[in-house]
Amino acid sequence: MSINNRLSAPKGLFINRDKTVKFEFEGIEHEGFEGDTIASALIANDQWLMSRSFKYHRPRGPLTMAGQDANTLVQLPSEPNVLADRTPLSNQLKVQGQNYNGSLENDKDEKLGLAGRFMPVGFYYRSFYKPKGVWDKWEPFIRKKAGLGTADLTFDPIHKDTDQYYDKAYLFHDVAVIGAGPAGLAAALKAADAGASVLLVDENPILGGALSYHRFDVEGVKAATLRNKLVSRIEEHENVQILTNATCNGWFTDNYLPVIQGTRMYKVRAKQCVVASGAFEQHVVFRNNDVPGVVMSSAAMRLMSQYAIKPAQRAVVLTGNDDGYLCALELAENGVTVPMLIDMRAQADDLILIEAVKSKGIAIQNNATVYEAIPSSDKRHLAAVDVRGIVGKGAVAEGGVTIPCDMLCMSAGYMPVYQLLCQAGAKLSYDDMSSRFSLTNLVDGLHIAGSVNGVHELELVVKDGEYAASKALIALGLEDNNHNTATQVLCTKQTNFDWPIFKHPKGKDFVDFDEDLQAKDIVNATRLGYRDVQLVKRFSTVGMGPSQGRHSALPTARLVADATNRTVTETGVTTARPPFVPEKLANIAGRIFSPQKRTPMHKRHLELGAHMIPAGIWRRPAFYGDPKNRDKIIQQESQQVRNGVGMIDVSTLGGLEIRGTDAAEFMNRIYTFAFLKQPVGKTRYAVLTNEQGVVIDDGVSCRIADDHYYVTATTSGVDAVYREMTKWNAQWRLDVDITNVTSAFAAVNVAGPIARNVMNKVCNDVDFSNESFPYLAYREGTIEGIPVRLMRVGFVGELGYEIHMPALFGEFLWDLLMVAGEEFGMQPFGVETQRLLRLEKGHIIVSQDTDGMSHPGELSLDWAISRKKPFFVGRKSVDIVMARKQTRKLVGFKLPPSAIKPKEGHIVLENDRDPTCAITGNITSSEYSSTIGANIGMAFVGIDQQDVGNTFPIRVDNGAVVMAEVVKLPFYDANNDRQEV
Amino acid sequence: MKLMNCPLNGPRNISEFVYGGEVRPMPNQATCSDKEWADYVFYSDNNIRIVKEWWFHSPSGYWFIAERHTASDEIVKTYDSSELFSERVEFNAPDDQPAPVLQTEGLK
Amino acid sequence: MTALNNDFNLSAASHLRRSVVEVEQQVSPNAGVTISNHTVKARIGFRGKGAIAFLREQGVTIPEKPNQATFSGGFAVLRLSFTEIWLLDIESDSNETFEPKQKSKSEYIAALESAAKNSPDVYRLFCQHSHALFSFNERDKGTLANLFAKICGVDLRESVFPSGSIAQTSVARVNAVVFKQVISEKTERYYLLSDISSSEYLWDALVDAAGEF
Repeated sequence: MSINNRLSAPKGLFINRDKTVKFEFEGIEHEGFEGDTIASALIANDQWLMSRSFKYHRPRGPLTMAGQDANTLVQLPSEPNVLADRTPLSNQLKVQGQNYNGSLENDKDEKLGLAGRFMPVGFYYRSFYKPKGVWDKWEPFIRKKAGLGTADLTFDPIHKDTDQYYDKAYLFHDVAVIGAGPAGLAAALKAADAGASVLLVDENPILGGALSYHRFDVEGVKAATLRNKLVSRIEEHENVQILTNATCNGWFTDNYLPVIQGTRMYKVRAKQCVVASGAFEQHVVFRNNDVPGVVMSSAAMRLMSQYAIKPAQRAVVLTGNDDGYLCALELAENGVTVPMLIDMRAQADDLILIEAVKSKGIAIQNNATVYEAIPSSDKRHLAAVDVRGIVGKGAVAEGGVTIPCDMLCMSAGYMPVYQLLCQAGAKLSYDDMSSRFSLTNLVDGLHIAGSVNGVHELELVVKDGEYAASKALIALGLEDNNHNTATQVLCTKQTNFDWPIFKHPKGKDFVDFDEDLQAKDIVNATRLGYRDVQLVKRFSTVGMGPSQGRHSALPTARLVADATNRTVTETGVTTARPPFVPEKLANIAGRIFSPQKRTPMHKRHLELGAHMIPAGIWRRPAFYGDPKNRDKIIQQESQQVRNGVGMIDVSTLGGLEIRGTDAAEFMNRIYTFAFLKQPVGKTRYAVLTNEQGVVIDDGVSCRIADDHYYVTATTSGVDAVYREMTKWNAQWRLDVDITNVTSAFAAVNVAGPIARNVMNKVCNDVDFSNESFPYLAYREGTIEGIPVRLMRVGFVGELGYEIHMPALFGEFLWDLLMVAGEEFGMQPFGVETQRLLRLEKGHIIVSQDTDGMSHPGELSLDWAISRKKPFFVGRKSVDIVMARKQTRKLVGFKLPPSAIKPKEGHIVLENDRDPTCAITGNITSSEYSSTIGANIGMAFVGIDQQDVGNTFPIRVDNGAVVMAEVVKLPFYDANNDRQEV
Repeated sequence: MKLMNCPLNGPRNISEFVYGGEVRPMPNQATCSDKEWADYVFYSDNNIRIVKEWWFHSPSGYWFIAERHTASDEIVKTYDSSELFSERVEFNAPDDQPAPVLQTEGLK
Repeated sequence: MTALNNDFNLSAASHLRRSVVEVEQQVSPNAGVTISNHTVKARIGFRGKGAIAFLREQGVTIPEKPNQATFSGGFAVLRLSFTEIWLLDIESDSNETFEPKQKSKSEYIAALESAAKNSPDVYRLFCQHSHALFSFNERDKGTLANLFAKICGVDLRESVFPSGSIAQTSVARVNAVVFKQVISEKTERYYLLSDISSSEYLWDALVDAAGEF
């Protein structure tokens, strides 16, 4: 690094000259300063070539020095597509170029540019769609050519031991100010002074925006003075939180703003938001306008002011506004020879400025443009520009002069940084006469200030910031509308040249640098019929690259408008969507929240070797043992329940308390069955239909007292059932309290022919004899002083007791029961075994054996519907659908054990002869049963396939068809002899 | 993310709420036609206007009413459901409702 | 009709309660935050038209509005809606007892539960067993507000969420009741009630969020 290359202070606001940083680029060691970006350090080392363009592999160097272009995309060891002009240098950083074949300096794919005329706009769409299959051949090749960078597949976004920990946090403020340029600083200061809590966000390492690089006056003192004044006050203001190196990456409803700062994404909630995002300087379209050394004027000024880099030896300025003159002054004052300032306008307005430029020995050429940039013989850098007179809109004179130079600074005008505002629904308009933009139709709570608002004169920019803050303060009630001092400003400064586009017959006059799109590509798209700017974008890919149209949107709109005889306002620009800058997946996929529910016995299941599976948000034991032995274990566990005693954790079962004088009336209205006369101490099956008459849940209702029911619901359904119940009662206004007690109770089912022995041993205050505690009865008792609710239910088809206990005792009682059951050989069983056991018994599981169309008739639940009561939810629909001709029925089926076992979801066919026959149903449950000695299951079948003994075809995997026989349900113990003992 | 002002809990992220459908009067099941019932169950007007909707604040288990504009998505106001539903609702015995004929049974 | 032994006491057998989260206390790596688990301590909730009158009769001071909490004698009284009140044994700053007549907070809660049984329009709630209770202490003021900003979408800074405020909201994507007690000018204390079944998940998420403090 040559220190001589750096300008003296106060130039170099970003850098710390006391700290040298060593880094590597393409294997060569370089030095920079702390505060340098990769790009600024490279330029300080005369390394302008940083990347190869996407399509033609043309040499590219920095264009904006502000991360607004894709020309500086480089590869870091663990991260591709890093913007070199945004990313700070760090010690020993190893940087590589990307998207080349060979080396960055000698890219074998550079010749692709020569074949450019064979790759017209829409090339891919038009070339690879026929013959059929050709795309499959080309795709790997194209992907390889087009791929950018190499991702680190071992990357862990939540690596706790390093600072590589990506997470999110909320931030709450009265006012969020996006952009800390003069407008943003003024707005933040005014809001904070009035007592609002203010968040100030800027993507740069220091505050100031344009004040940190732009020149606003001939003397070149205004920016620094104002910056010092505003920044010193802001930094010590206790009401202001400052986030630098932070990007507001989108606007979402009610000022919900994602602001990314390093590894953290802030989810900002601002009551009011002021967008002072500034404006993007625009380039001039001419041949070879992408050669390294051709830059925005603002880039040259950033290099000088922020990084103290003398950017060139000989620089030419091409401008369409006064800012080019200020750039020329800045260059000249920092030792750069400026042979010529080319002004596309016929005449500049500011005579003082003209005189100042002339006094530096700079020739001013009006009514002229650069027609072509001429690269050096190795094509790596700018060598000269071909200057021509302008003779009409986009037309140049025949002959011109060639001026040798190593830099060209372009100032064609500014495009407001409208992205966040348009995401909020603002309308961007362009006045074709004045070439000015305006943003209107802002939502409440969103304000705009500074150059994004078309205000460019420094004094007015500050006033505009204050005016925006004032509007925010009035909305917050912190300022009185009648006493505010800020007023709306009007800026008439002309910054945009109306037609900075000079097409060249040989092309390479780039509109979009990201996608290598030339002026003719845009025009050709319109000729192919794509008149709408949105369609032009999709066909040509203009604006789809990393810079998202920051520079291509305006020339595209102008070219499309021109080619279709419309105005730019009529043409419009493409929709701006979040994110504003490319967002790392790690920012989204870093620390995330995936809630999980566990029963109080969870640890015990793990100790017992349970294979845990998700059941909705819950974790449940599928069975106890190695999943490799699943089938065997399930049969073992089921035989244990059929022949001895088993215990299953059913804590996930939903539970609802229905209490109050209207409890019975409420139950009667919600569930299909009759509940008014349900005796205390008895349970009753409860089916829930929705208003469409579809079965949506079921459970067991226990009547604890005249005015008290405890009703269970399915694991996955209980939250929705609770919502439905409370919603209905918000309308009915019955005297009833509804409480979701799912988590308050842990529960187990002790089941098997000798279950009573276990119960007798643990619970002494309940008589478990069949006479005193019969099938379907409900009792309460205590175990070791713990109150328990007991139900004699038969879900698995054996003598069984469900024990519901307050949750904090769940683990204690599980342990106690396991010990008590030891002498009876009791073993735990899992949910998959339970599914088999209940299937043998013919019990349905709502949502497994039912779907969004299943009404009670299809499920043979007619018996669970009371027609003697005036109302239940869904009654009218149930009556209507059940009176119509039925189309399907849920039946039990059986196949020999040797047959292929159908899977849940396999389809039932009308017949096995015609492969195109109708689908009449589907398999809902299927399992091998060692008790029955057959593959058994439940399936929806066509209404004329439902008769017992009938066989029906099932299409299983690979298109094979197996025949199953309809069997009367249940498969097991039809007379309930085993559970009513 | 959108905010909604819960009458009980104040402004909250919309993700804390569950939508409960439009507030619509239920026709009298005992007297309405099947078509009227189907209209109530299956069809919604889907007009551009302010609609009254049920919303549920999940963390507090609270149902309330929100008035929302279907085009702008602006939530105009929210209030307790008792403002619309203050009277106990009764259902009378369906004397004139014939018992439905079950086709399933008939086919067997 | 069969009469049931209607003596199902949720406050019974307090010595046998076990928290799913086994840790009692966790101090964050830089000692900025201490998270404590109070899940097995006594608490009870009541709801219904008669709940407030019943509790006033029992000498409990009820917060005036929903989503407000009061603190006294090592108890927090939470008003969660117009007709819903929870009483929680929270960690106590001193050795004061709630009622000299009562032997322990547990017995006081048990006595309330019994008294409520015959009161009209008072429904006992199940928070003793349905919820976990954690508390959070900070070394420096503002730490807990920053910690909660990582897991909760409600602004809990003191300026908008003063002592005694309650937020029924979502924390790390599970429903929770968060309330605050300002201990001194220098520190605040937060409490969090959340579904017992997701409490292990939530504890881990909270400890993780506290990792930077």
